Amino acid sequence: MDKTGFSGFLRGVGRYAPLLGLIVFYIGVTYLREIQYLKAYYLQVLMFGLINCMVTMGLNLINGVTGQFSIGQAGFVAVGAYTSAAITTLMFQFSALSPLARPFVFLISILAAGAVAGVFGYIIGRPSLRVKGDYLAIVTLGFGEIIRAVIRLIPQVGGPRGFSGIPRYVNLAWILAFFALTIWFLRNYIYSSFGRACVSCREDDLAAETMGINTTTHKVQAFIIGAVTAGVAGALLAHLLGYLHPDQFSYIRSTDFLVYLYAGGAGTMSGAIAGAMVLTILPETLRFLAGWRLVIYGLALVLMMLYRPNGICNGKEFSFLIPPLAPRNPEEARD
Amino acid sequence: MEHFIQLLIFGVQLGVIYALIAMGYTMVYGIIRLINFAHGDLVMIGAFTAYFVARVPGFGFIPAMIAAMLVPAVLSVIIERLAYRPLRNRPRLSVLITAIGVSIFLENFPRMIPAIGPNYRPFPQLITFREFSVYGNAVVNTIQITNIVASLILLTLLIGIVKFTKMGRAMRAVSFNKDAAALMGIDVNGVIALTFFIGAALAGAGGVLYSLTYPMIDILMGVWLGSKAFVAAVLGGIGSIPGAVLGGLLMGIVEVFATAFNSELGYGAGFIILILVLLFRPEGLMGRPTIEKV
Repeated sequence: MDKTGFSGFLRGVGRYAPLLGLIVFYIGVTYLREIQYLKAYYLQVLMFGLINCMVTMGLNLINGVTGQFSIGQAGFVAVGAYTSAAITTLMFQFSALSPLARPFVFLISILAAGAVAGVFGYIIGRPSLRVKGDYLAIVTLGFGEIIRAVIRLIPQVGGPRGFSGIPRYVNLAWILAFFALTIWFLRNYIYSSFGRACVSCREDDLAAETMGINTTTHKVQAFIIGAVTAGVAGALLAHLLGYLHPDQFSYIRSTDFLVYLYAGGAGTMSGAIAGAMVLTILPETLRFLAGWRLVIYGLALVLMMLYRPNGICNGKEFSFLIPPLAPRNPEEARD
Repeated sequence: MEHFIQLLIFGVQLGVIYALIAMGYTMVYGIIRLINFAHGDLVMIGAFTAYFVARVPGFGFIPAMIAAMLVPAVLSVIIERLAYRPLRNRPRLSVLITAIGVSIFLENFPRMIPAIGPNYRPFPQLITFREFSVYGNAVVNTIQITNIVASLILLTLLIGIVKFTKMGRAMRAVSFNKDAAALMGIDVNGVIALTFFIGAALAGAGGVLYSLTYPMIDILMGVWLGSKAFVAAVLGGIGSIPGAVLGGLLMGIVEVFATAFNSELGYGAGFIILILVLLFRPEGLMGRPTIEKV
């Protein structure tokens, strides 16, 4: 590969093109918002879309790449959301806390949200990997519902009444930053030897085990990373909404994430992003249809599964979601 | 003791309804390995069918019940034919997502029909309410008796069909090995359609019985009822018919007792038991362990 001269320069720039694109996107959106072209409502939808993308990408690592079937992702989102909301709500009350320190408190609360969700991911992942397939799905479903029941029992975070008064601190910059971080991390993970080990667990875990891959470790790892992603997304969600209620994180919400993933195309990051974005925006654009939009949504899902089973992205990956030095085609890596 | 017996009656009453609904999950899973997410919504369709039929003068409990079993059953066969059958040889997850899509459709289409709409509706009282004392202050009422008796009749009928008829034997054969059953001349598609028919009929009946007890119906009633019944099916060992009955009863009783203890605990209790059972006996209480072959 030629690394000198002008083509080398271009290649070097090309590496950072996604990041540059993201910055241009941010400036563009902010400008359109400033000149009042973009309504606050659209910006809100965009931010929800990005948060959903993050959760779906985490879910993609568990379901799409590692082939484990988790349908309790909303539970991890809830853990993250409540953890960080509890921290910021508590800390922002102190008058001694200077406004300058707030971003740091917020950052710490996001990291804490990720960490706590990760611990839950381990607690759920470690024992439940003894059960496989559909049973794993049910354990994760049960976990999500238990989290919800437990939150209802804690009066400090509002219990069944919901948690209100959370500082609405988040803005597009925060979300885009964590969105980019998630993409960067997951992309590099999936194309690392860990990621390939995860793929081998999906394809045939007995064969993977025979080849010396510790399938349990990799499955648990995937579970934890998926949970951390969901927790961080939950933290952002809490500070975007300013209000949390246990019922927001029911298993219906978990199936939403599943639908995003499989509609976009499981196993690819592009699928996760496209699915979450399209399906977050679609119901909003169909809002003029009032209640019919959900009818159409359900029908569209069935029709898509019947006629385009590989999802919107048809199993292909955007080039910026493949690390520069990785083989273009993941199939090659497996040979 | 009186309190205990009273709670036990409530628990069994709820448990038999869960068992009826769980049956549909377990039968469909047993035969095509699909978690039918749309099953809970058929419960709601059944309840609404009964609601409308019972308004016709001269129609009482029995006609309402029959209609509430037939309508979801036919609907379920249509859904299977249009949405699930074309996907039968695809990865199981695509069928699952399709089932979620069907479920979203079934919840939102009735919402848009003016005759049904999104609001709660009072379910007519189809059974004359009377109470009988059983032990001290513990009482049992006619609705509870109807629930338990009707459920037992339906469940016995189902087990009779599965165990002793030719169709039942075909069902067991298909659930054991679809390809081998097809080679033996069994109409696999027909058997699967029949399974969906019977499962949905029981779900419709469960919907009516549930609405008799809690006489407020709305289009989302099937979501929670369905998810609990599903847990019951898994608890008993999904794919196993006696397991669904056992799981349903257990789920109902545990839920009633936990709710009596703390109202918020009631909902989570079933899931906690489920996870404990799955961790120590992953195939469920009465399920067959699967053997992994290379």
